[in-house]
Amino acid sequence: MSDCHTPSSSQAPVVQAAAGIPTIALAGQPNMGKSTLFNLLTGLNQHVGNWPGKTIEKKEGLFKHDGREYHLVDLPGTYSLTANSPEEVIAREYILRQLPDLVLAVVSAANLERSLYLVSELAALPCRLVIALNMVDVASQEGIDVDVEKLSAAVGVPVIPLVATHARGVDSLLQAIRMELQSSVIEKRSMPEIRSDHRQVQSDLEAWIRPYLPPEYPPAWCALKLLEGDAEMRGLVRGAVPADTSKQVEGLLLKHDDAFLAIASGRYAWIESILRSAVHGQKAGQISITDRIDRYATHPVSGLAILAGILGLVFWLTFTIGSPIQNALAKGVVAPLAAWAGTLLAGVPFWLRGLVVDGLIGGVGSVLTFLPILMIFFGAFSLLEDVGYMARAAYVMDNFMHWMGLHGKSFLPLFLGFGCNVPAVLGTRTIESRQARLLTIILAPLVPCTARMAVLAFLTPAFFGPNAVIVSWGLILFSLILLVVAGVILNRVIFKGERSAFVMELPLYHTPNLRTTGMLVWQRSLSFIKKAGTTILGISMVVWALSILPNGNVETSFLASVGRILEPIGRWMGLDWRLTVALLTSFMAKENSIATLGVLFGGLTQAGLAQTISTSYSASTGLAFLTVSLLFIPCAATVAVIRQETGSWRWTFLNIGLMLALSVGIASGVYAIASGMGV
Amino acid sequence: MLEKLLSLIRDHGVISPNALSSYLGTSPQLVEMMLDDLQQRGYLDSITEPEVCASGACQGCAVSGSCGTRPRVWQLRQKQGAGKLP
Repeated sequence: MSDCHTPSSSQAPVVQAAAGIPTIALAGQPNMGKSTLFNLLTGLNQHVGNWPGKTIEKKEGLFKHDGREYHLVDLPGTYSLTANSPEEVIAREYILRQLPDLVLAVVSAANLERSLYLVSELAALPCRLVIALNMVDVASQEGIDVDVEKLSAAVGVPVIPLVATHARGVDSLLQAIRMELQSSVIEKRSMPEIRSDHRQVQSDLEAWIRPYLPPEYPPAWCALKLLEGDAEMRGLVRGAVPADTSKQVEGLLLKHDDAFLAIASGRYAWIESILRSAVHGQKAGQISITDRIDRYATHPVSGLAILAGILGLVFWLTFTIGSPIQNALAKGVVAPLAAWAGTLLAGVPFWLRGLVVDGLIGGVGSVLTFLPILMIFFGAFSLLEDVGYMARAAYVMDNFMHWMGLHGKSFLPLFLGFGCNVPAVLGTRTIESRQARLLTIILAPLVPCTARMAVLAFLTPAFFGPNAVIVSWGLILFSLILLVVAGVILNRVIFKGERSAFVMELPLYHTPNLRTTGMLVWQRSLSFIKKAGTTILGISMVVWALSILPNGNVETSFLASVGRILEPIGRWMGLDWRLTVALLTSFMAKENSIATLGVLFGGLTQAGLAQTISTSYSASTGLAFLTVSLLFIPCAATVAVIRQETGSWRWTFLNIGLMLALSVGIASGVYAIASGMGV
Repeated sequence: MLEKLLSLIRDHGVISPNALSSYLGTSPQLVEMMLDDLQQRGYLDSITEPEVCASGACQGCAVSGSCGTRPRVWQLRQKQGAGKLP
């Protein structure tokens, strides 16, 4: 490339295109290698400034090739020539008004679809055009084979393959530019076609505006831009034509306000036909594997079965591997630690010993023994996410809800709520009707969040031992059915069957990267440990303090008093005051119920929390407690967002009241049925 | 092509770009490009996680780190004067 560059001059501005030096405008989308090519050609002989009146960077430079000098202008990166952004306005105004001798379109061979849209617009302008087909090496690595000759023939302009990062193909490109500049005529190019009904409209518009347009603006192109709804062009025409013509133009545009679809469709059909003839083997293998798997994984019936199976497998793995480790930690670490601390602190005041043994070790320690279960939980979901399955899980659920008749606008918030209720509540912003929005907000906490599922993963084996998988699976399924029923009622009553449609991106399946998954699990676990050391610790301390005040006896403590006030309601569900209080503390954050049980039971036994719980309560009580935990009022963060979004305490308390009534009512029913069946 | 794409979205309720590309006989990349174009033109709304999680309200949740990333979703919009379906 040595002959391409001229040494830099120290004077500013460095670049000044002298008369007779051909100007080449470098056009292309961002990240197509345009800047790399610009720097490669101009070297240090470039000037960086701003486009007149804009804060957008303007780069221009000079270079030499075969003894001839060229002036190169790097246009801002653009996706099209429609005035969607200042960059696009600058690029097209430069091409139209400054009339560069040649436009060099830099396109990526690895992402030709996106690049060709801009080419379809450039091809319509009366300028010399050469295509630099960059990144052919990347395309080749991805199995994409671009037939350069066919591409050139299809577009009707020279196409030169290039690897700008390695300066490969630059000489051929410069030869092609020189030859194109020497030719006296612009070859006929292939152009996108527009639908016949709009062709006549375009002709009418063209005829009306032709006499008044500035000479540098091609009337046919301007008419096309008007039809596309280009605001900049509309303003230009409005200012240029007489009032009656302007009225005529506006009337026609109003009548054909859907013309954009026809024009853009023509461009996409043009791109499609070029890709068909010039591009082969585009990621075909990967797509076909994805397609084959998705035939089952996203099918309305088999997809649901696969999802249910995977959910069951995740619970099975969690319980089979995580629960024994959790028990071992509770018995082997937390209980001995509590005993050791109790002995060590034998001489200190009772409250200090209690704070460490029951509050700190009992509360936070119990939650930390939860970590192996969470790590397996996180690991399984991270792996599914990395493989590309998690998006399918959401897709299948959404399909299921649609199949159940939930087409309404409540659908989106409920979809966003999987994992966390906060986005579910925020997602209701897309609902225009206040009444419908408030009712959807009320339903949003019915979506099972990750924290509730994690609490379920901890407590179910404690109550149900080997049957934990089927119980957890059944509880999640029950919660989803409840959600769908509520959603369908909402849709029928409030949205009156109003439809809403979505496109959901499904990534390609790929082999998981165990390192990435491991890192993800590590980061998520670390985040959990940090929160256990702050929020959960704080709550544990408060619960502990309330459990020993005023006289050091838990049975006569303030906490017990509160619990006993609520115990009659708890009894409907078979819960004693301890479980009732644990449920109450889950309001701050769901995992606090474990910390509370840890404070109330952890320090009293050497057997570990899970085993203590299993021997203290019947299976029917356990089932009712798990049910009420899954449906209980949302966490404080969600309630705060409900208050923020409804702007009303009345609606916030109504929401809390309804969730309370629903969860207690259903859990009482579950307890009554389970007890009646002798569970 | 865009008219057909909009009709497919409206008729299916929930659909993926891959499925749309199968129906249209084109590549998923081109479909995603069309979806972006329709979004820019106001025919679709793009719903991405940062928009709904930007409040940071869930920071107190000990398992919020496990929420993961949600797939990108486009919602069909009935925009006055622009979103007219064929």
